[in-house]
Amino acid sequence: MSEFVFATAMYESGDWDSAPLLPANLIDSIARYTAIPVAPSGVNVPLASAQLFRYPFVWLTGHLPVRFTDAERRNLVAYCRRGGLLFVDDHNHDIDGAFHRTASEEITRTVGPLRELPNDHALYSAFFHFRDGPPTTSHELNGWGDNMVHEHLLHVQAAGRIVVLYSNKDYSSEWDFHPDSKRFMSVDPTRFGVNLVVYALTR
Amino acid sequence: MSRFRRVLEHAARVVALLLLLVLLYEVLRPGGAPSARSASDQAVPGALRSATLDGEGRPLELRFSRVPDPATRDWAGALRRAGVPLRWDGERLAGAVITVEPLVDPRGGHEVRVWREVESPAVMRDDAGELARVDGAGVTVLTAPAVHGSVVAELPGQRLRAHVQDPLQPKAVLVLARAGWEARFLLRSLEELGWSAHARLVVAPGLSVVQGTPTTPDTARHAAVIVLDTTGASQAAAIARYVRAGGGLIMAGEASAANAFSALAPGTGMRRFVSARELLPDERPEDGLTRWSPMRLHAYAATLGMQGDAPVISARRVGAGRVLQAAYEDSWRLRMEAGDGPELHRQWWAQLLSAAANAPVTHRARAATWGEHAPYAAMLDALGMPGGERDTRLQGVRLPRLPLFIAALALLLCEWFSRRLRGAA
Repeated sequence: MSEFVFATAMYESGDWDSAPLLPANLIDSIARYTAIPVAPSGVNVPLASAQLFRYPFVWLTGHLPVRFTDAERRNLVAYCRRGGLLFVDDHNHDIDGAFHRTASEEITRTVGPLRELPNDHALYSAFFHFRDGPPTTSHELNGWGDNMVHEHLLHVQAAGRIVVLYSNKDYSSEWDFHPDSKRFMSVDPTRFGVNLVVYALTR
Repeated sequence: MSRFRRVLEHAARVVALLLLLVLLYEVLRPGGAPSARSASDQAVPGALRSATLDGEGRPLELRFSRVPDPATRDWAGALRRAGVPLRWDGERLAGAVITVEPLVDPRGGHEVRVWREVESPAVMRDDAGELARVDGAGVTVLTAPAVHGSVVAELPGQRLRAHVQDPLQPKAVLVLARAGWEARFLLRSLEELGWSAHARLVVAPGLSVVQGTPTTPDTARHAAVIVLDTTGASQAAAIARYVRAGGGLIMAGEASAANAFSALAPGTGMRRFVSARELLPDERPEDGLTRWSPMRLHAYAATLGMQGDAPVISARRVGAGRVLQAAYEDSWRLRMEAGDGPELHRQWWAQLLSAAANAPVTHRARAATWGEHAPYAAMLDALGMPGGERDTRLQGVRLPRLPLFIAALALLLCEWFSRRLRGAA
């Protein structure tokens, strides 16, 4: 059976590898909580390469301004049209920051405008139940970035299906911790990551 | 001695006279083999009319360069059954059949099949226009997205016609699988094809994501069941009952090797082949997929698709239903990576469903028209085999006239000669 492979998007303009421990934590959670076959390690895949299409779920994050090349844009359009899902997370959690402004501009220009995702969307009950929508991160509450709690995720829809999910909530910081630290946490913060993967695999 | 000789002379005279009387009767008596009535093509109806009206029972000899229309064919057949000897030939005529069946596909469409006994061109058209021109012998299959009215095939010497059946009303498809890309993209393609898809996707022990209302497989609700892995094994008994009752089952990828379904599987000894290619090749993208192929096929299984020398689609009838084994465990990669991926992926699954799904055809009540879709066969049924029958009516004993006459003459000559020798007058 084909297993799920966690893929991180490599793009030319920014620090795509700003959360190097995140993949291992999410992979661990998927294996721990679900029966979904998952590859033990993630991959990094260039956004402009043909290999992007081997991974219908791709994670993109960073701190720096985002400017897609023409090849990255073309690939992203085809990727979304064929059924891929791109999850973008602002590692700065700053709506006035360079990453958010440029990334949202690039996404709007490439695949369509970003809109708020309702907090009762099926994503929030795909595995664990998040009654209030996207879980708040500790990094939203610590005064960094725009010092705001972002109530909604954003999304782009095409043909009745979500093709891009966008987060200002800095899950990249929240989930980028040493795996040994998880045992000291009262609530596993990566549970929402499990929802993201299960939603991608079943919708 | 002379007395005996006189007796012989009298006897010879009497026998000769009798022979002459018989000869006279032979010449004068009515009947004998009447001459045949011949006609070809356009003249045949006239000959049939004459044969019907005059009632002489003269044999009919007919020649056809085209299969006659049903009225002429049936008329000749009626005369034949009434006892009129009929001989016919149609040298250039040969068997041909046409059928039109609706595709098992929510998008509709029809499959037109034409079989020709000998190599011949055929022009196929429906009420809207020409569909195709084909050549050769054997079966030609044409898939048409829509067929209007009836389908006609023009062949040398005959015209075939098939009427379009009522459209199918496809039922839902039930998908049983673990959450994963294969199930996810399968459901997407099913929906794009117009199928109503119900699914149970296992995410964790005791926890599934449900789409639609995935109930126990039922021929009244489900056209087909698709299992992609071993998660459907818990319903193996229900699936087996469903198949035997007429349902369609598609076992793809890992499910092909599941022990729970081995009693239904067309093939056994499944082996998994992983392609060494990282990306799908452009020309034959399916060569880059991971496949499960059987080492042995069931005695009554058939291979419907091959990749090289490996079966990729195997099929078998179980009870009233059909079971397909489809090789690929990651057909979703066709959709994501291949050239016209989404269409390729849809075609792959549409093909499988068309072969496996339970979709009984509802026939319109209409008069028998089999003579239209197989006119040559109908002609043979009505007129018998070419060449026909000999006129076997009893005509009386035909005596050889010349030998009789010679015998009578010889007897008279002997009698006269004997009397002359005796010196009698």
